[in-house]
This record gives sequence, structure tokens and C-alpha cells, in this order.
Amino acid sequence: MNVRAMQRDEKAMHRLRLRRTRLVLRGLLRDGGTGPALYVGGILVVFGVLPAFWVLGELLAEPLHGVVRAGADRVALGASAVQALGLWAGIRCGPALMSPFSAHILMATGIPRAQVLGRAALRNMTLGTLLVGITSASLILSASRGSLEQGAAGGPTLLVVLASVVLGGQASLAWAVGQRVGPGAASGIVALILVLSGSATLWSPTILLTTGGWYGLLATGQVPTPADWMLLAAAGALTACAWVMYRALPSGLSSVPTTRIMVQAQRVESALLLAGGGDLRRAAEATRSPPRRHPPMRLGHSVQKATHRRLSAVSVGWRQDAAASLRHPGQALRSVVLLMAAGMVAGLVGPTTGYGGEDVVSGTAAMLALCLLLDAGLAGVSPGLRGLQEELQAAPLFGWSRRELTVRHGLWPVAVASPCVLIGCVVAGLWWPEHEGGIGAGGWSSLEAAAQGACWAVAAVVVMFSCRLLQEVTSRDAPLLGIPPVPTPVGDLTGVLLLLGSIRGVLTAAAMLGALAVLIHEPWTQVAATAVLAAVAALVSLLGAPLLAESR
Amino acid sequence: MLAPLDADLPAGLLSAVSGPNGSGKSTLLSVIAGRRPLSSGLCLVDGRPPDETSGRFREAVASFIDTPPLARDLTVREQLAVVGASWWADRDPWAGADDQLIALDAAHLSGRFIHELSAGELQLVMLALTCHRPSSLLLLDEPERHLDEERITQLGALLKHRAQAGTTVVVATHDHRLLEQADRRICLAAADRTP
Repeated sequence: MNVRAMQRDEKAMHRLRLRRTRLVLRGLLRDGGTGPALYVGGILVVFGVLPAFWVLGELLAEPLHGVVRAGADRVALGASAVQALGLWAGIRCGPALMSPFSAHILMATGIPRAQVLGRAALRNMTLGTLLVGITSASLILSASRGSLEQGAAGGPTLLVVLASVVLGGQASLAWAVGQRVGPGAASGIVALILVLSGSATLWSPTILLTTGGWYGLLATGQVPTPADWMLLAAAGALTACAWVMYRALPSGLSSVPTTRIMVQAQRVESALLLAGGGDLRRAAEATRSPPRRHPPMRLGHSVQKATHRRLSAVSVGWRQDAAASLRHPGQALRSVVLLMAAGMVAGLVGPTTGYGGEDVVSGTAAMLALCLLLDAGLAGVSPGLRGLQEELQAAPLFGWSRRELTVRHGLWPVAVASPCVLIGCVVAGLWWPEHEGGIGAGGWSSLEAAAQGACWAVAAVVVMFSCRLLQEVTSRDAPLLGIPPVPTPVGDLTGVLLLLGSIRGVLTAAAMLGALAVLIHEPWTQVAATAVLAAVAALVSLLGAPLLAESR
Repeated sequence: MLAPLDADLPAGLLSAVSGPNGSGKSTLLSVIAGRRPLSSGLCLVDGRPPDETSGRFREAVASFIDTPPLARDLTVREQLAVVGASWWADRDPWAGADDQLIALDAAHLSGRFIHELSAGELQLVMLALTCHRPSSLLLLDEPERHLDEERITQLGALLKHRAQAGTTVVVATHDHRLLEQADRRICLAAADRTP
């Protein structure tokens, strides 16, 4: 960092110290703990709990038949869009708007971090609540304009206004959630909400998966008589939501956004220092993506809570794994989608459905596609051996059991991937019931067949994960630059060999799964294809091993 | 890797293990830490064989044999707080975070990130992290690495203080100052170098 920049920072820090003194004198700085919690609690009660009970009470007394006859899916989509808007506003209007460098300088002045971020968060939360409240009211009123005339005068208008207020409250809750999660996670949640709501137009039962969908059902009177269990469920959901928000936001104000900004500030500071020293390459590295493994402060909170509850290292570690997987929500979402797609392929080409029928080429291609999808999906949820090595080194410091760590690293990817693959299997059966052997065609009609299909899906995950692990063991830390060139008359084939080497785990897994399918279901037409896959995998391993060994 | 050895490491003493390279100093510490089984013989810690799967054992034994991984986006003080938070649920994780740094005369490092530390300062931080967690048996493998003479003397005083407070401290070292401060010295014989 040059002298002029240092002098500028010094002046900025001096100004901030003076500013802080003035704020303290005015009594404007308060602790970031109790105040925000009470603020959120008040918003919850005023905008969420009370209106919801009012609306439900009105429903019990006078059901909404006739207010809106149809279009529950559109109401659901609109309501979900408002919630997504609230979530998006939360992440855009939060403390993250504070520039990393100014946050770093602010925190370097000795002001408690919660106070640095708390005031900005409270101000933005007020603005966000107003924004989503007004937007939701406008949306609901415009969506149900024509239907107001159909109901009794006064009653429906009041209900619609109350519903908009409730929706605004929910959107503000989503906004508060947006304060806690990062932009990537929020994007994933927004996408999930909208996809679930939008899918109701294609397949109506998914309308039950979103709160907006329940709004739609209630608004169109498609829930015939709101019974006591509905009231209890709604009250329970609201209470749980209130509790979660009450617990989440204080820590969100004082911990997570702080951590996020800490990371940003540290990276920018590192980049400035390194760039000032002329090391531009490392400066660029410092501003690159954040560390991939456990978010440290969340790790601290997680470990603290887990220790308090006397949980084992496995439980703690699984929470760390979950936090680590969700740290890159885009990657996590991609993994889930890929694994579900793999499950759909597994459901279509598994032994229950005849391993692709009689077509050798399509069957083999499907098996390769299954393994490629599994491989790509597992990449996002499998921490890899490097992560295990780091945790094993950290074990003496934190008192973790090395054996439990190893077991957990093996179980976690399988435990996460298996449900996704199973869901994909079921979805494939529901979407293509006419497929030979599908659910609709009787393939999974019996409990035994369903169990066989589930075992097949889990076995595919286990086999693919084992092959990934094996490949990682044999080729990890192989520097790309150290791999010798393979010159041929048609050019350098290093890239081709690298490609083959990187997918030899996929080839091995495809061959193993093919052999498994042949053994279980006896589609003897696939024996030749399986043998070819096994031969290619063996050849690639034989070619790749000396190449990688030479590179070390 | 470790020649036959018969030794008793009493509680409340600073014991130093010395010997030439390859004599098995680190191996001995790994055996005591329960991370390496004995091919023959018996090792007892507090009357029981080292059992790394036992939570009680892991809580009792703190070791600095391998380099612990450090989070690059945390300051030194925050690293200490994370360790503290993992051990004391009913205590402020920041409490005592500076004590170890002060004892090693490294309080000025508390606000720094890992990439801002020199090799010697990094060694001090890792020693502080190891000493920060609770333990009744402290195992340190060559803690004097990268440290200057003054810091080694301070480290010896800190370890002596820990031992007097009741912790069993075992140090594998080549440094004569640490050896001089030790209450008990164990010198391992050179390994058989016959190919």
C-alpha cells in the first residue's frame, strides 16, 4: 500500500473516531442483541401472527367461497413472487451494501462490529418492510380486483387487505432471512420458491409445498371447510417461523453478515497489500472465491451449540458439512438437480426397468450418462480427501475423533445423494408412467419392486462415490504443469489423456453398475457393452497411472 | 522406528525427549497421543491405554505434532475464540483468548490474519492455539521451530508454568534451553541405520 493511501486511511479512521464519539454522546449506539430481536418480534406479531389469526377466524366464520373462483395457481405464484421479492430485497438492502473496505476501516476503529452493522441493518429493514408491504398490497388488490364485487360488501375487502398485510409480513420475514443468508443461497431459495409455485400450473399437488400455494387455495375456496387441524397447522407454522426469526436475526445482525463482510474486507485488504507489493497474481488470488470449507464463525457457533447439547463429533460434523454444502448455494442446487437427474436416469435404465431394454447402444449410453450425472452431482456434496486431511489435522485441536471423521466423510455424500437420487427415480416413474417398467406400467407396483429400485439407486451412488474416491486417491495432487506432453503427428494428446484420466472413475463405475445390473436382472444383451466399458476403464487406468506417476 | 524404552512421565513435570534425527521422538509422542499403535510393549496414560476414540482421552490430551489447519479469513484472536467456543459452551469464547498470546509475548498478533504472520509468528500462534484448549497432558513436537532465543526462553517458562499448574508436559526437542528447563529428560538412542 503506498504512502498516500495509508495517509488517506489514517484520516478516514480519525474522522470515524470523531464520528463515533459524537454518536456515543448522542446515545445512538446501542448493543446489537436485544434491540433487533424485539424489533423483529414486534413486526412478527403486528404483521404476521395477529392478522393471520384474524384471517383464519374470518375463514372459520364465513368461508371465502365466491371471492375468487379459480386461479389458485396464479395467486400462489404471485404470493411466492412477493416473498421472493422480500428475500431479494433483504440481501440487496442489507449490510452487504456497505463496501468491504469501508467496513474494514470501520471495524478497525474499535467500534463493535454488531454496532457497525446493526444501525444500517435496522434502517434497511424498515425500508424493506415498507417496500414489500406496499408491493404485496398492490399486487393482491390488483389480482383480486374483479372478484371483490362478487363477495359481500366490506367483508372481502377487509379480508383482501388483511391478506395483503399478512403477505407483507411474510415478505418482511423473507427479507430478514435474506439478511442472514448470502446472495447465492438467497438466489437458490428464490429459485426454489418460484419453481415450486410455477410447477403448480403443471402439476397441481405442488401447490401445497409453498405458503403462497396455501394462500391460493384459501383465496379460491378450494379448501372446503377449514377444520381445526388447519388452524393448528397455520398457528404452529407461524409460531415456528416467529421463533426461528427471533433466534436467527440477532445472530444475523451480530454474526453472519459480520463474517461475510470480514471475509470481504480481509480479501480486499490482502489484495491491496499484495498489489502494493507488486504481487498482482496473489492479489488476484486474494480476491477470488472465498474458502470452500467450513465457514469458520458458523463452525464456531455450530460447535458451541453441539457441545452444549453433548452431541458426538459425527453430529457436529454433519452440521458442518451441511453448512459447507450450503455455503455455495448455486453449487449445492446444481448438485441436487444433477443427482435428481441421475435418479431419473437410474429409474429409467435400472434393473427394475430392464436396463434400457434390448438396445445395447442406448443402454450403455444411459449407463454412462447415469455415472456422469452422479459424478458431477457428487462433486458438489463430497468434501474430498483434502478436506478430510485438513480435519484430521485439526482433530487434536478440537478434540474430534479421527475415526468418526473418516466415517462421516464416507457417509455424508452417500446420505445426501441417496435421497436426491431416490426422488429422481420416483419423479421419473411419475412423469413417464408409460415407460416400459415404469411405476404406471407396474414396474414399481409392488413393494418388492420399489425396494429393488431404491436399492439400485443407492447402490449406484455408493459405487460412483467409491470410484470417485479411488480416483482421487490415485491422482490427487497431480500437478497439471508437471504432466509430460504426449506429442503425436496429429498434435499433443495430453489433453485427451487428461480427459480420459479424469473420467476413468466414471468409466469404472459404469462398468461396475453394468455388471451389477446384469447380475441382478440378467439382461444378457448388455454383457458385451459392460465388458467393453470395463476394458476401456482398465485401459485408461493403465495409460493414466504411469502418466500421473511420472508427473509427480 | 522407536527403540525399546521404559519411562515414566509423572504429572506436574516438564519432561523433555531428545535424541538424534530418526530416533523416534515424534513417534513416541504419536504413541502417547493414541495416533499410532505399538508393535510391542505397553503405553498407559493415566492408567489406561491411549484410546483416541474415547472422548475423555481426547479432552485430556492436547498435542502439537502435525500443523493444525488455520482459517485464512479469521484473525489470530478469532481462531483462538473458535477453539474456545468448541470446548466451553458455558463460557464466553472470547474469554482468555488473549491470555496465551500474552504469555508468549505475542499479543500484538491478535488482530492479524494468518497470511500476515512470519514463520516464527505462525509457530507462536499454533502453540497458543494448542495451549488454549483444555488438557491435562500436553504433547509438543519441536515447539522451538522458527523461534528466536528470547521466545524459546519465554516458551520454556510458559511450559514450566503449565507443568507446575498440574499439566503433564512432554516436549520433543533439540534445543538445549528447553532441555535445561525440563524437570525430566529422556534421551532416545539413535535408530539402527542398517539398510
